[in-house]
Amino acid sequence: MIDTESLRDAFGELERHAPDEAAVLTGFRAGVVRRRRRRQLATVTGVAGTVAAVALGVVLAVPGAPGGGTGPATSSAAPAAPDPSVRLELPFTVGVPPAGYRPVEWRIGRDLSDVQYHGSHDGETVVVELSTGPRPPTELLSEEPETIAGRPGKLVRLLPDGAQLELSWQLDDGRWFTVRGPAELLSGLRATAQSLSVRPTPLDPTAGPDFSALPQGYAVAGWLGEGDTLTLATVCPVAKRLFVDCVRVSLRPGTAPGTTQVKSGGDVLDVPVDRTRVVNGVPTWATADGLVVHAQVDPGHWVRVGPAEPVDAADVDLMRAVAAATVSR
Amino acid sequence: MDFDEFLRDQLPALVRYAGVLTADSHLAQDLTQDALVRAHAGWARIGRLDRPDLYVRHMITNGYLSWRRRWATRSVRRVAEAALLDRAVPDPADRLADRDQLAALLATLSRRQRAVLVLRFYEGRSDEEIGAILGCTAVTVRSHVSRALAGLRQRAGADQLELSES
Repeated sequence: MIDTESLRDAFGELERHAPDEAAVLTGFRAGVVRRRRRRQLATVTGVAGTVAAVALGVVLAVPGAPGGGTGPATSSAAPAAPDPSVRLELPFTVGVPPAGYRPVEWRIGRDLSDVQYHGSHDGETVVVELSTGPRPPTELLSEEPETIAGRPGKLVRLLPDGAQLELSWQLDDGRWFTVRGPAELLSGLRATAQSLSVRPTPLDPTAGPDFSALPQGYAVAGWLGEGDTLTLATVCPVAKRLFVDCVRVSLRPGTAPGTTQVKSGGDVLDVPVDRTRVVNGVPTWATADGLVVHAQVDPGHWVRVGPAEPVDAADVDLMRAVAAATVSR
Repeated sequence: MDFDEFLRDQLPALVRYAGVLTADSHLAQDLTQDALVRAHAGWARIGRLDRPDLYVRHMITNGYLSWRRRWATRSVRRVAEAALLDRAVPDPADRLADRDQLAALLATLSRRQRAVLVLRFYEGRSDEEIGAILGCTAVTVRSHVSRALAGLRQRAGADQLELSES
């Protein structure tokens, strides 16, 4: 029977979609800063700017806001110190890869980096992960202690049936190693786990573009690739970590096409990328809605830039600037 | 009340409301942030209202209604790229079947009807409060509630649904 109480329950269950308060505050603060900068760019008087800064100071003092505090607004309103981009290297080394598996995909980020290996059959996947925190325990079926590389760790069997398991342990610096794969591969997973070290594995720098000329305040927050090929780079504001304000960059061989494919409902459409603007001497092209930007970075490569998250409006000037700053190596 | 106090008091409820309204944490985050930025910009006016909390809910709700309309016509996320970076959130194993059924039914409602039901049954708002949030009269609110429940009854089968409109 479905009744009023069930309706309340159904809505209550949807509370799990509530966003993280700290993340909302972070995005809100960034939005206030952007709004203030736009006003300054619009040559609003200095008096108005001061008022905005004072108002912002109140906001930034909200307890619990990341980076917020009780101090005056001036420190937060000042330009953020440069934060170096995430380097194009895996922050760990896998000494003994899982036997019979091949690396197919890697991700490098500030909080999480991993390598994914595939076996010869569908569903045979091993993931080696280095993260700033342990995985949330939502998939946990059972857990038992395990000594890994001389450190106390745990062996976790995952829902629904324990066919997948994880070996994880914490390093001295607080980060976590996790090796996840099929339960029948337990001995191999243990061998891989024992072989892990935090010695970085450099990747071929020519695999990715050179982002040394990114717009001020932006840095590479993550890389994603397959085999030896870089697939994507994510460029984010240095001052905050919110993914929704990031842009995604992919460098591709060949000549920039005049259209891009977008998903609309259940259809894939070809949309013109024909709004031209030259940025720092580099021609860039955008779709009419400003959600996709192309640029020809050299005779053999072009770059596609778009929002990192689905949005209905994006900062096309930023995307053009990132595209123009992308240089193939 | 200054904006600092407002945030401290209202943020937890606002993010929950946005999450339940949209059933999409990313969208809920965007809508909440956007509403807060605009509320902050207009706080000299909004802060003097009797119920600034209702007004910010009005902003979130309007964002939800208009976002869906805009988004329906355009999505730029390439499926392959999205699949690479997204992490699925597993459904709780103990989710009740009727809750699943009801969630599916709620997803079939119009955006405005869904918003009305969220405000009535999740937030427990009065007709007058819902009217203030949606920008309509209490009579119109009751009409929306009635039609939304009728729609649920029709879809679920009248013998399975016993919903009070008050």
